[in-house]
Amino acid sequence: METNISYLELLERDLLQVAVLEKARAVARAPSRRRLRWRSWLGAAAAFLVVAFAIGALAQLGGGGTEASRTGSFSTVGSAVGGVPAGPAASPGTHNVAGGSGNQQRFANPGKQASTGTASDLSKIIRDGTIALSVPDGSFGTKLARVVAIAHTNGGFVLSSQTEGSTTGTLTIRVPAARFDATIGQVGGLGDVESSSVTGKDVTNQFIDYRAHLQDLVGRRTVLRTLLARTTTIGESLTVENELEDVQLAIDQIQGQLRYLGNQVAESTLTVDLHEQSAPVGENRTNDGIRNPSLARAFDRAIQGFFGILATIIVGLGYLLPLAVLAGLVVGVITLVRRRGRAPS
Amino acid sequence: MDQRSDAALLLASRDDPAAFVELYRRHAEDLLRYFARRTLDPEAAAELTAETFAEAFASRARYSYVTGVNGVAWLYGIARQQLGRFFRSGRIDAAARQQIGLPLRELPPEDYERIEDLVDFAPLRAALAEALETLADDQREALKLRVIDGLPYPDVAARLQCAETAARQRVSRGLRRLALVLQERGLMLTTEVE
Repeated sequence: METNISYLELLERDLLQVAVLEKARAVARAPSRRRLRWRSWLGAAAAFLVVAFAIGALAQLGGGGTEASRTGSFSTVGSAVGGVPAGPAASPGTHNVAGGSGNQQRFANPGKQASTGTASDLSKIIRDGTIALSVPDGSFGTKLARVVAIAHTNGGFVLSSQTEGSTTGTLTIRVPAARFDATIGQVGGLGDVESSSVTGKDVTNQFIDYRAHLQDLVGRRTVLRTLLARTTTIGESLTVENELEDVQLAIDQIQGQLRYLGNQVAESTLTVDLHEQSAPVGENRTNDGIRNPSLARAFDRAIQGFFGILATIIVGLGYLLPLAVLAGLVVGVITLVRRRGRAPS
Repeated sequence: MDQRSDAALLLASRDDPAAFVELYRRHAEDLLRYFARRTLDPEAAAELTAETFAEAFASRARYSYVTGVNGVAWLYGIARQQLGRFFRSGRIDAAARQQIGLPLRELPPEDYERIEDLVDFAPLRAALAEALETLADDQREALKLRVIDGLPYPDVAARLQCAETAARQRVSRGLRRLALVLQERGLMLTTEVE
């Protein structure tokens, strides 16, 4: 630079030094070719997974209706609940209906849910549900009485009830499993369904195990009784009697378990959360009407969500992978043909 | 001589920082004159020049020719911001210089007169005389001798019976104060092209 001002010359020298240093730092920071290639592969894999997720989500949205029509035997809930069929991401054994309009449903393990009380005796499902209702102002007492009446009409009873003031309350009713869906429908008709959920626990395996064990024990009891009749000494008699008592005790315990399970399966529990429209939202109920939100429940939902996304990606990969392989083959063939065309004869 | 445009130099300096130095060579003296005419203070003008180039260097990645702003206009945009901050606060930032690692240098004694030579004080003399009355006595006397009477620094120092360095500082500080007063009263002459 042509100037007689020393400061500018010094500044030029300083700037040049800064520029050189920055260039050196940039070179040192520049990713190597190998790192760049690795990043490219990582980016491509991420893009592939995103596309797989999108395809999986679309596929499951499109395929849900078919699955529901094949397996769905759940009745709709309340007047505000539509008969929208299965969704993909539900956890096993659960059925949720949520939202102000109550028209979103999630089902899983549907084949077994259908059997409760109505299908084969081989399937044993314990079903419980929760429903949150908003009723017109001034009608809380009437609606509460209607819920009790519905429970009685369907052959059930009120297990417990809790009210807060004269506008909010929770009622827990037990009804025969065969009348569970009908009961939910009737209760849902009493007001606006804010949220609803039904959970199903499959205890068929437990039933089968208990029965098999019971048969075995009954057989052993018969043998022991025969042996007892044939004993000749007091010592033998005491030994066989002791054994017989143990077997009888085990039989009684298993029969008790079977009775308990039978009762659980035979009757379902429905928790009805009622509140008037202008009633303040209580501490035990969130704005969306879900009762007792807890960390454990949130954790469960997070895990379910994670596996839901994973499942969606896997479904998408099922669609995408064959196409990717096909595209790879086509590209490979084209590349090969071009190389041969370019090669000197 | 690099034939590239200012915009091309700025864009190239993203990957090749040395290209920025060519931009500096082209515009450093003009920018120094720009600041000197507005601040009337060689020290302030030099520091503002350094800070402006430092900020331009630090933010050159944000320059985009697509916006339609050519390189020199972009540079003077930064200069105007620096000048505005200086007039508002009365001091010069060093943030950009510290950010890029540019050393903070003092103005060499011989540069005071050279920078003053860059500025044509003639049109300012009348306005200066009016604004001089607002200054402290020692600063006003130093400025009168240096700017209005046009005496060299050794003579100013002899008249004030102080060291030449002290005379330079009085003039420099008086000019800075004067520039602020002129700016506040809207008396600043802006004859040069931005």
